[in-house]
Amino acid sequence: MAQQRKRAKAVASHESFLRHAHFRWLKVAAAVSLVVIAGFAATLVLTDFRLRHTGSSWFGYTSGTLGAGLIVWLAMLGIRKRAMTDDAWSLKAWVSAHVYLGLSLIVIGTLHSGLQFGWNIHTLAYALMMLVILSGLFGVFAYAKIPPILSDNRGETTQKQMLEKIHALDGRLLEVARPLNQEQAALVVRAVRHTRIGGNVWQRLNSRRSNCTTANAQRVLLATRKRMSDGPQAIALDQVLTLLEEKCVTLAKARRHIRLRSLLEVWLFIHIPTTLALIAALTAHIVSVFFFW
Amino acid sequence: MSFILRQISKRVGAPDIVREKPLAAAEPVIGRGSDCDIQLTDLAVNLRHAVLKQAGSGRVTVESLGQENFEANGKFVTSASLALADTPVLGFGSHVLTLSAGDNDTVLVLATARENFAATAAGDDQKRAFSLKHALFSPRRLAWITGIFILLACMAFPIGVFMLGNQHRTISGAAYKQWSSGPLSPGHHFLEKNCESCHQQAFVSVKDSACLSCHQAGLNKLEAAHLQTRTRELGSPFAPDPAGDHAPRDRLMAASPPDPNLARRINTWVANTFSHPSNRCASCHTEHVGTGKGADGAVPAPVKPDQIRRNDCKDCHTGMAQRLAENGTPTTIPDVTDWGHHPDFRPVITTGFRGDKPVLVRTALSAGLKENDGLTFGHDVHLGTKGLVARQAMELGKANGYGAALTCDNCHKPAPDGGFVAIDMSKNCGVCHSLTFARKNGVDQQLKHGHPDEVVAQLKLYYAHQPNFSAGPEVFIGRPGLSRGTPRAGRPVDYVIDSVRNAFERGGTCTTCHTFTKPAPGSLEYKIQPVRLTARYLPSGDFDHNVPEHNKDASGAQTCKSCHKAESSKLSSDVLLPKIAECDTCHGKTKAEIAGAAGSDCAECHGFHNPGLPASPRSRELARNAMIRTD
Repeated sequence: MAQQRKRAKAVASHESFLRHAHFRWLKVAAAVSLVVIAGFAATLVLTDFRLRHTGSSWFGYTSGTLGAGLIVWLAMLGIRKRAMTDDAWSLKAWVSAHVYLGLSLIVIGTLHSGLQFGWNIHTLAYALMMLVILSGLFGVFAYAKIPPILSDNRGETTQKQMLEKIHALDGRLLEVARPLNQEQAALVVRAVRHTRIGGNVWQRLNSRRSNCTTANAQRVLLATRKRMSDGPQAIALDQVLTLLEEKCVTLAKARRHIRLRSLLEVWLFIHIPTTLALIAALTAHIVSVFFFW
Repeated sequence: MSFILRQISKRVGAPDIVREKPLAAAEPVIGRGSDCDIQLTDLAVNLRHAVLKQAGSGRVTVESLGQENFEANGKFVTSASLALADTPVLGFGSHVLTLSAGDNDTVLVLATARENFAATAAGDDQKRAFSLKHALFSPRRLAWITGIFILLACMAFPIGVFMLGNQHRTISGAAYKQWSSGPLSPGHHFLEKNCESCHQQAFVSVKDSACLSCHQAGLNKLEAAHLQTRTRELGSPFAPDPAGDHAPRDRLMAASPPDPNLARRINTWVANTFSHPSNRCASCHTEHVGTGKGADGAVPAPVKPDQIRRNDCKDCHTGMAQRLAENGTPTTIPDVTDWGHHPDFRPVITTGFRGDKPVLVRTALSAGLKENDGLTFGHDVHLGTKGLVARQAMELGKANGYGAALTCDNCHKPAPDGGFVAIDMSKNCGVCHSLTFARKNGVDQQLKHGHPDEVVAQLKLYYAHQPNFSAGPEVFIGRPGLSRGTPRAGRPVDYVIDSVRNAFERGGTCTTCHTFTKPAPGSLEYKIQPVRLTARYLPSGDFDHNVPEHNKDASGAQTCKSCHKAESSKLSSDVLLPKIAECDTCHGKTKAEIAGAAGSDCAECHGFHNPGLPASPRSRELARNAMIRTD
């Protein structure tokens, strides 16, 4: 009972991971960044503004340890996310910390590098880290902006319903198109058999399709219908056109859905592989630094 | 008016099952939900999809309960008003509802499933359609591939090359280049692909022994030649600069005070703890901050400020006597806390001779300090604008490099090392102070300078073989302005003895400039006191006469006089050095004080690695660029 009440309260006071606990992790991340900036400034002053290998100064080792530790911890979200809890260290708290501490890595990593770049493993690690952070930033915006749009587009239909409806329309089309002549029927069959809902990555990220066979069939058959006088075949064609139009509308909805879902997902295809590449490059960076000390 | 539902389920190889039931609701709801009056088990149908309403006699309206439309007579609509007489057909997913008028003012709803309706989309289809993974790739697989590739190429490859002791420079260059944090300095450019020449052990910081394997100081010529061969084999275009210790390590450690800066102290402690000691060569000489280019000339470019960590000399050279003892007594190395506290010059002068060896003494520079260089010479006479010397110089003419009263540079020719070419009697003095003692058959006979015994032998030989003169011997020329050597007529003369005395005795050719020692009676073995003209009074520091500003007075005119008061110096023994205060006019000043403020860095004059010797030209250039006070 008490647990139920607690859960009800948690649901009632819903807040996004960005606003979690009154921006607790934003504050922590800002504090960490400020400390690192102060450390960098102190090192700069102590070396008479002639900082050569920032990484090998005491600031460098400290910020490097902090940064590497953070990267490993941030990557642990991949494991942590599989267990949902709602205590003080809830998944939401974890994600909030992941986002804000991840952003603070821009400050830590950049100052650790001292902007001393070259074509080497050290800069590779930095570049990969920035790529992970920027893709993550895209993800934060996607998660904040896209779900309401996705929900609006989908209405009450489920993904499965969208597909079922398209399948149903396809079935009806094959049935209704029987009286059509060979040429027209071929268009309908192409619309049924060769319409791709998803497509490749770029098609998915852009809901418009230039070569949709359904749209093509609709366009051609509509033109045919306009040239045709009323009659039994015209009635059949009208039915086909109605079904094709409905299919186009349904396809457009499904494709918008796919586009939005793809936007929600696409950053992860950079974020996750780059994270592992980063951990590999980071390992090589640390080992190389101490190997040739 | 009420609704009757007739559901027909088709069976393969058996008659259809027909179920009929009247619907209690006046307005039956169509949907997938179990609470619906007309339940259609199809996922394409919403839970509560639409509602049927009777609208007057023979008409029915259908309205969507949500945004989802339905099919009515082949059209997709969200609401429809239908006449029962037309037996309208409604489509909901795979279900078809045919409406017709039944008995007793009822509406018959015939529910059938479409025959050739496509199979329902499986879960896999759904994933394929909506998940990006199927259009792109598995992020997890890509993660593993890139991660492992980076580990192999960027970590395993270089470590492997190091462990296997690979000697192939192309392979090791490719392996190590990705680890290099920056190009080496021009002097070490040839080692760019040869990391293990410095990084000799894995996980061990670069040791001094690696540096000293090329830069060892104090080698003899043979060892130095061996070393140069070795570095040439490594690809070095130059001979390595020897770098001596500033002092033995224990003395250095004893002399250096604890760092007043706590942060730096912690830093040092951490560095030492993690076997990255802060007193190695590499602690000051930073590498991997070069340009990536080799040296242009025969000598690598001077070290750039970026390539060296500058330690302040005054950190140690302040209160050093409290920390450093020599044989139990505090050190006498003077403290130099800053330029303003630099002790005055202590030139090394010649106080006399022990045999032929000069006795050198380092002494404080006081007004009127004299040395004993063994030469009789007056700068005043030579630099006078009137008088015999000036006249003689004019007579010699421009063609001979004279033509006017003498100036400093008639004798003191600048040398590339910042000093002067050593004075050479025949070149610098001989033009006037002729050593010609006779002319035989029109050829001048010269006394051999610097070798009194040979001079005596020369004269003996010359006069012994000429006992009979038709018109007496040719004149003994002597130095200009003096008519000596005219043979005294009327009595026999021992020309040998006479000529030797003419040379060495008071008023003779040699004694103009030299002090002689008389021989024993009957002997002709005259001795000349050795001469030592000091080339470097300040061997521990250095002064570069080639710096243009060093040859100018306050107005910018070319001069030597502002430092060297030679015009009034009557004796060669005058030490004509200026006080360090003369340097203060530029050095140690700030740009705000004078426009020509010059550096006040110790290393401009003193060599760190060769204490007691001047700074090398390269380190001098570094120091010159490094530190000009701005505050």
